[in-house]
Amino acid sequence: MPEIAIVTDSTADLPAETARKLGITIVPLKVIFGQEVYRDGVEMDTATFYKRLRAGEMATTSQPSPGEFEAAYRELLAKAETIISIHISRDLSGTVNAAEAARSLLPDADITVIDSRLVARALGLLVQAAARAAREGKSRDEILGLITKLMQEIRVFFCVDSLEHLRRGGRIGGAQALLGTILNIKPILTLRDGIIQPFEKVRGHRIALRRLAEIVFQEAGPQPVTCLIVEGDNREAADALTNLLSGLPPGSTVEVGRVGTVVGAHAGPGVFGVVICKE
Amino acid sequence: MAIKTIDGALLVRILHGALDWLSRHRQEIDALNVFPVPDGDTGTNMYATLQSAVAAVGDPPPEAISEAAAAAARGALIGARGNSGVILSQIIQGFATALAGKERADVQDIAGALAAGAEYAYRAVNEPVEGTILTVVRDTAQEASAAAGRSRNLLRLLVSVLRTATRSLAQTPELLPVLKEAGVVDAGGRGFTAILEGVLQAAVERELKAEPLLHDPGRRPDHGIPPAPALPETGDEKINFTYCTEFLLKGLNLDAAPLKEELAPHGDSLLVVGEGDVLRVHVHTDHPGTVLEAALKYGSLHDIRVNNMRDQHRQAARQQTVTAVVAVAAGEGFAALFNNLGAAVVPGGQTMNPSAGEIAAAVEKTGASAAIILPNNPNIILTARQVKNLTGREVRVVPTVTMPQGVAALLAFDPRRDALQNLSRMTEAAERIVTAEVTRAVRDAKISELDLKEGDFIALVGEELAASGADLLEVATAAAREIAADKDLLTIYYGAEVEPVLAEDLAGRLAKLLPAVELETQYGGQPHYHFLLAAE
Repeated sequence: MPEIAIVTDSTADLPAETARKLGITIVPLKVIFGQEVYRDGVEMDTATFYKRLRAGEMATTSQPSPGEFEAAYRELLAKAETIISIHISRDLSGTVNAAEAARSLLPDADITVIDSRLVARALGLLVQAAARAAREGKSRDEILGLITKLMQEIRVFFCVDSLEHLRRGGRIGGAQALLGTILNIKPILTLRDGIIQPFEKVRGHRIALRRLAEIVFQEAGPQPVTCLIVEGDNREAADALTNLLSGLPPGSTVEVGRVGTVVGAHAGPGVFGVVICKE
Repeated sequence: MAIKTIDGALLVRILHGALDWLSRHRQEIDALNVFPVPDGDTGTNMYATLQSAVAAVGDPPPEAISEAAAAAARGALIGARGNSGVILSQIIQGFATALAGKERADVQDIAGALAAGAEYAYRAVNEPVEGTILTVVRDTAQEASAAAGRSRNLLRLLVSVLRTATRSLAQTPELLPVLKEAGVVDAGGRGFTAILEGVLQAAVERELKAEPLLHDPGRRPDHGIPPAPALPETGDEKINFTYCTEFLLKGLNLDAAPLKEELAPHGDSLLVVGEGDVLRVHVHTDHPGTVLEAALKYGSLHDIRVNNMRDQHRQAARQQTVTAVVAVAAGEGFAALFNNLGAAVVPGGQTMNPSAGEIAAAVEKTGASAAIILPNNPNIILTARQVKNLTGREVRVVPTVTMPQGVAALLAFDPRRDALQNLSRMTEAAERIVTAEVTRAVRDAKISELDLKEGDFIALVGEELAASGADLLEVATAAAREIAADKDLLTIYYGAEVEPVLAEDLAGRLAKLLPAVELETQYGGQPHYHFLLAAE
């Protein structure tokens, strides 16, 4: 066990196995269907979840309570001296507020709470890098430096089937949501300044896939990149993107990951996208 | 149908109805929010407040109306959010206070309780402003007392107070100029009428339908969607203080008055409400620290919320247009398309070129400081370039020669960028489109070494003849295959003279012939051209 423990929340969409291997503690958010409340990534598998969304059910989400963070921190403090807790953008969820509230309940502990300005596997990538650095015995300040640097470099671009879920969840403005209902317009969205912003509008699924691939090549330039393809019940798009990305510079890695229930509740089924980070 | 008295259980059912109705109108109310701070959260705040009130009552509800109302009032106080939420909590507080000790309430009691609610609401605000929720509540309370004299049926009372509230709401822009400028009614007032609507509907146990049963003055009749509030262009001018600061103060025998006095110099929109062991404080200030420190002398602080309102406002203001797009379009389908994608439309095309003056008038009408024109026809590009001499605004022309090119250019428009940056993005996007125009030859002619007979169908790609013949579908199919063979997307815009089934026929054929191309069929309604085919 390293002396520095890494904590994140379930919106990082890290597979349980990856988290276990790297010793990452995940505090789950909750996904809610009516009166039914499930802990994200723990109590409901994504297959069931997307099936219910596609059947027309509406899911809402809620952040962990400060008490849940406090419990997680207390448990870790028995083994670790320092905690770095890295979370979903404050502009998308109140999770980081809950983490900060928990930290204030433990005034003597060395806990750093970070608003990553990211979400989904982009946050996951950041958390994985921090956990690896912790395992290598890096100091707290070195890890925080790494996190700050990576936060600048990680890029996210994605497409949703319909902007309706984002609109209903209040994650984008109402005017934007009108698009996409005409002419088969596929808005390409990005995460910038911690919020979801329109990047470009393209028409048709194929052009959207091609454009996403182009963006990855542009971002990469001649350098190898780490690329994560994410999908929310859209394996087909992920496979097509994997093919389109086969010519990335040598040394690049391309992996596919699934969008979890809390992020999926806002993005809607069918979402696909890329997370890019230069090596 | 008549209701003579209300007990605790009925009050709770009514509150649930109000909450449900408010939740349906929350976003619409958010969009109305321009006063006191245009941060677009009035509906959400009122909803959160009422939700907290309803949750506090518990299940099963107390039998006595006094107990149910008191519990709701306490819940509202604890959960109140934002200016409008705090005022709503005071309305409930006054309502509950007037009903103290009562098992059931009749029309006289309810009228008295509404009057107390209005009084509490006014008392909570340091400098009451008319044309807000305060006016609507006061008018409502006055009508309630008049109605209580006319009939003992509570349903009648509810109907007449709602009518008065709606009328009062419609008057708010006359009382508060900032509303009139923005072309909206007061958001808090609208929230209050939404609550009354929900109350009435729950009282008559009518099933809530998504469509409003009642006239909805918050909407403009000519729009399907609620109007976005027009935010002042210079952004920050309506915000006097930067931080919206809210918290609960808990202690023993708290009194609002001295704290209110102490906090008044630190900002505006000050509200200090409650009594006994909990006070809720809301203030707009430049020094949240000072405010918190001052309050700390009276008790402990809870549920502290500090928001930078300039950020919130900027976020909303960012969506305002500074650069507009004006498109020349022929055909109702294309006009609607350009409109829906956010452009102003000047009618015109092949045989009816608009004048520079007409385009300039459309540019002026957008009110934007810069405009980008999409002429969508080779014969209109020069006219469009004249427009800059007729208006003081910045004018750029993307030289689109077909309407499908114009659509592509418009999609590349990014309102966050300036006109010059957009010009190059939009020009590039237009250049990626290959358009084939399918029409009828108007006389015998020779194009590209081919003899054409009058009445033949021809497909033109730019100046070149791509196909010709007597059968419309064959000509269109040949043209589509020529331009779309190695493309991703082909859009079929069918014209005014073409039946939808014919367009579907064409799409069906092309789906087989071009399996790797995505197809999209769209009504363009353009004259002269049976089909405009666009490949990208």
